[in-house]
Amino acid sequence: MTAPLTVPGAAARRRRRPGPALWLAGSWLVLLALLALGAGVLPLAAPDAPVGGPNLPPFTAYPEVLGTDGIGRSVLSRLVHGARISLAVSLGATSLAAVAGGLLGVLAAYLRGVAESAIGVLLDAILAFPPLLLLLALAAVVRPGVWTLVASLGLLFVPPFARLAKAAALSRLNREYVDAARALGAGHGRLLFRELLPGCVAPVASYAVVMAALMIMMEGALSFLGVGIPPPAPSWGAMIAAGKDFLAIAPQLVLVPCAAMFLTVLSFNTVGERLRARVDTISGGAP
Amino acid sequence: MAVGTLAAAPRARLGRAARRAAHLLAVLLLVTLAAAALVDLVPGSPAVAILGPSATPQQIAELDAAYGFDRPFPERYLDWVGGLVTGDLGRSVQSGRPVLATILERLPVTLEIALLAVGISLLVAVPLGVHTGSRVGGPLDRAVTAASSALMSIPVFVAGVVLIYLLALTTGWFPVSGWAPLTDGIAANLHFAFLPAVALAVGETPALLRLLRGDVAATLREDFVRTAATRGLPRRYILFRHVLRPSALPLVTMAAVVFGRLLAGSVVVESLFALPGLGGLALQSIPAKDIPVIQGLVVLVAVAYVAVNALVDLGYTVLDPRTRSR
Amino acid sequence: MTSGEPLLEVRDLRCHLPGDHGVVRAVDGVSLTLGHGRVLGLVGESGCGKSTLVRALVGASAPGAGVSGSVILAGTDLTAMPPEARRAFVGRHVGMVFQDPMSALNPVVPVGRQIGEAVRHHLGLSRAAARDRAAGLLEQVGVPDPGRRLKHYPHQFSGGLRQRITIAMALSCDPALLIADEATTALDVTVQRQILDLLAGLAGDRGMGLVLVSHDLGVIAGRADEIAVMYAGRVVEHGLTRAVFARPRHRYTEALLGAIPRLDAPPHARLRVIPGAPPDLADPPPGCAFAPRCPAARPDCLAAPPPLVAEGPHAHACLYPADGAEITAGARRREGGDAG
Repeated sequence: MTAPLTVPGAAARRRRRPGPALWLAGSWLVLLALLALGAGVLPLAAPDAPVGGPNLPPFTAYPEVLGTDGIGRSVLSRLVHGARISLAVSLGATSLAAVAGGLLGVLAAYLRGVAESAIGVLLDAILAFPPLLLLLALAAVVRPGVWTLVASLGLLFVPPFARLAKAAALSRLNREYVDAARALGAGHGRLLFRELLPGCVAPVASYAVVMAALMIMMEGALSFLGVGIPPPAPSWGAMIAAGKDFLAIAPQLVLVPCAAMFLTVLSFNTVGERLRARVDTISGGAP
Repeated sequence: MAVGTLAAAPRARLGRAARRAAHLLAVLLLVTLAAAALVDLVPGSPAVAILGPSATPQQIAELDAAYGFDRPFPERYLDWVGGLVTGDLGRSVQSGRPVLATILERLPVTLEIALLAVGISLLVAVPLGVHTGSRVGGPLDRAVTAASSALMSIPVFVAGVVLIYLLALTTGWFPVSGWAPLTDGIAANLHFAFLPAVALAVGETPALLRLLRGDVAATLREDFVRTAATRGLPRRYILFRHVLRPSALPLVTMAAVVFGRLLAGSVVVESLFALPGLGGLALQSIPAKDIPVIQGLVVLVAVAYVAVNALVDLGYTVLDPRTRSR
Repeated sequence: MTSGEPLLEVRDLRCHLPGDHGVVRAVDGVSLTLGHGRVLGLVGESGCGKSTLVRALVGASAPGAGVSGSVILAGTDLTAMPPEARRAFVGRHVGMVFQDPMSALNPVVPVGRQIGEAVRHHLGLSRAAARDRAAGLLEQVGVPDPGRRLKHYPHQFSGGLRQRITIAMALSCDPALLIADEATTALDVTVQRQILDLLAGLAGDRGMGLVLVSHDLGVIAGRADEIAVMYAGRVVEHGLTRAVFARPRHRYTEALLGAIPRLDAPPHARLRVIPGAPPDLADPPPGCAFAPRCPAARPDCLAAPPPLVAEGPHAHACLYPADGAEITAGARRREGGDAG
């Protein structure tokens, strides 16, 4: 990051200090990440084998505090292992989109002319595809897995990152220090990688946190529709889809993963919005 | 978009329109190419995928020939685009019926719940947006802002199952799933359409609300609002005549974009509520590898999506008095 | 409205605004009286509190402003009214014209509607009657082809025509008082003159009180019956225009008049400027606010703000007023004089 982005402006300092909502959101994400990383070593039942009778209600058995699902598998274990998949897909796809989009955006801003138009058409074409439908279409022809999901979700969300990076790079291109670098004979590579790209890191990264929330929702939707990570691998969307048949007799099977999903998305959104507001007040107001 | 949004002088505007049209054509070309390429993404032959492993080579050859899966890409693409232009999207592998007819008969369901969802969103967002925008920082504003952050974080399938649990299973007010066409009477139809539409509206309302709130708050700081206030016009009149009006265009734009998104995004809700719409069709076609139907869906929805955005763009230029005759 | 009482009476009006470095005393005890059909010029440098005063007059102060004192319009005490009722009353009886006509007009509402809306609301006219009235008003303020122009949007007019439209808006309910706050500052010089003539003419024709607010004495000179000079939130001199020009009493007025370029000055005479800058209204000096810049200041000027003292119709707030006999370039100021 370059200095102008990390030095908080007066406006940023005047903003509220992190409130309890931000702390809670951050804590939830940290907890989730730790659980997901430690899913293999934690003393959890296997996610894909029955541990007891079907549809055990929560808080009736130890260690299965969240009960069991329709075929007697541990809801707690499936939730934790599901978090692993959700986070892996979401973070993987977001990183891919952020890096690819960021580079494309900066290139478009730097090269202008034909390259800019070509990149614009490409991005618009991706945007013209309704994301869910394209993912469904892909699922029809390609066997889904973590990598195909990461790749397709990642590609689909390149355009918003590219636009963001392009705007950030354009606003920097006109600044004196870029002119100065150019006047000093800096080459294309140096201008791109040392002067322009660093300025795009903060806006792209803060936006990525918000996009991670969207990716979790997309992955959930695909798994819910049965075209995401194939069973028996646990995934929150699939848990909700499977649980909905038991909604009348065992609503917790749906409500528990729903709550996990909601909290995670909300936490990403809360942290992301906050970061974006921060980046805006710091680097915003630039002419 | 790559075409800049620089304020256009009259002459530059024509050039801008032409560039924009060329841009749209390029996008459509890429979209159709990608849809046609779906066939080539199927591992092995699509016919094998459709017929299953027990199919005889002769059956496979017959299917390949009937649907042209074995022809080279350029030939297949041109043929398909030619059909597209004349409204012939081929035939469904599953039913053998024309793809276009199959899609058109499912369209009204999706159209209806998408429209209904936009309507519900606007019904909630407009009064709340105007109110909170005119009292930024007030108690209701803070409550609504918090609530809209929460609503935005609810995935549509979560909203759907929770609604089913609360309003269908627990209270029995609405049916759990199913559909009654409009021909069964508007009441029966709305009875089935309401929950799916609300589930869709949950995630979209905050976007409209935030847009309007920000717009209203910004407009209220304008001099002309202060002028109107010094003229002794009632607050309510100022809010609706002078403040809401300038915000109407961005709001309509956003509503149109939301509508386009819902057209494509209703798959989840249609699956959850077992609705006979486009999403349901897509879901049926995927395991059956009904590639012509999937291609048709992708292209039609993409075209609709592009068309909505282009219309909005056009509408903006035509409707905004500031850009109209400048 | 009886003619016995003045049109506008302002008593000890104060408007204190919250600022970054404490309370800003933007208007600090202003008292003024304006008779029916009179034209008052309110002059002062930017930042002297003119616009804050105008806003306080009509009850449109910024949120958080502390306003005290009273404003009596044609016998009705506005400051005693509940805010909504006051807004309605002021909207009905006072017309306002602002500096920037483009931002004062709603860009997406046709001008006819903007002129007619107050009429419909305050006078209860029908849509058609309001439209006819709006057309009539446009004609009066000199907008050609009013019938057709009603349907046009603000951006379709030139700057001068736009200001004419805001004047038509201000006149729509036949106000008893018209306040023009820097109404011509944003316009070309030629247009400026036309608009000023229009305002003065309309005020004369309608027997309407007019307050011309400007930082430019030249704008006010030929049109105002009387002049009030503001400095640092207070009125420091108030008198008939001719008297103030002929014999300015307050040292600030004198300096202000000296700062006007004169055609009869020698070709290379230096334009006199007032040295220094206006005081920080969040932390005003204890005495006369002009003392730090005043060539005639004496120690007792710094003790307490001098009160506004009337000498017949001419009032000033200076302990050592100028006699104002000579204000030509190069004239030596006489120090001292009769203590008022």
